[in-house]
Amino acid sequence: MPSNKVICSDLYDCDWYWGDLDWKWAERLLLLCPIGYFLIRDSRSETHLFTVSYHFQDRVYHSRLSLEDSRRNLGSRQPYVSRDYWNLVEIIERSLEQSLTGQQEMLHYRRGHEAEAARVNLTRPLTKRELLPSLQYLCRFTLKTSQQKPPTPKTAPLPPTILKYLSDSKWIIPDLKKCEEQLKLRFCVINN
Amino acid sequence: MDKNGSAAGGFQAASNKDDGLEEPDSQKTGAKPQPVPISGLEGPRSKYVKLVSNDDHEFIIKREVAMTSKSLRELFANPTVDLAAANNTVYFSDFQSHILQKVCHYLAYKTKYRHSRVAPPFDIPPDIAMDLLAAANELEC
Repeated sequence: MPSNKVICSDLYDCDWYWGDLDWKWAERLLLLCPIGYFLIRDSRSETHLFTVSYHFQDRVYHSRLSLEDSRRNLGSRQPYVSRDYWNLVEIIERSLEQSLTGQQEMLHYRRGHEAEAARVNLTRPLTKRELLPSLQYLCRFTLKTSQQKPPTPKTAPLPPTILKYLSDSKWIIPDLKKCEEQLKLRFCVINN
Repeated sequence: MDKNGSAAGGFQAASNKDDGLEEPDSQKTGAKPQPVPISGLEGPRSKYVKLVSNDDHEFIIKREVAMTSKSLRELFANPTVDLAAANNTVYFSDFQSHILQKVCHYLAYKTKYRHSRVAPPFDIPPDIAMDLLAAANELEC
């Protein structure tokens, strides 16, 4: 992870965590980013909690993050043993640091291919914040992650559209088409 | 402030609250005070536009900043005679000043960091999040 990172106490506060983002969108977004960009998302595998998706060698690969009792690893053939990192976020960040420094290989997956190991340099997380999500998204995110009970709005009763927006189960994920537009705007000079 | 008198964030807020300054002579004598003309607000292609909250606080922001809101973009893209005559002013009967101020902050934030790879967090106090969501929904931003 970059040296200026902030250790998050809660996964929801981590800007690199994209929740239940599917692999197609992960690839679509990361292919617009420079090589080395990555994100963490929920894994569709029953045996893993999370997947690290990253842009490597002009493709997007996916590495499953194993969180077994005593083994903490990032899809590596040589999982490191650590009982010091019980905090979920610290486990992930520790794994990413090890990848960044080249201390461990990562098993990466391409759909329809065998898993293969490679030394991958994860250089920068793709954060939701840098894609400038809408004010509506930021408000909903604040309401969902706030410890306090949401206040009653001082304005008129909330319209059904807002109530529906608030009840969306994928509230962690911003508007992906807008994210795509923002990435094109940001990296078009690099990609062209 | 820049040379045009706009705040660094791309907008400036003018309040009707008592700021401790002495009232002008026109108010002492009972004469109706004349509104102070603000250069850059006149005409269909003005540099600035004005947003007014329901408690009469005025927020003067750059037109390009206002265009970040889809609703305001549609409103100002084809300005009517009425809008130009009203010095490009929009009144929000549902939004209090602290909500409209935060909306203006967000519009300026999004304009400023649109081409940047690093954006600071945009913090929203939980106690205003619901009202701010209603405003963001109406302004489509």
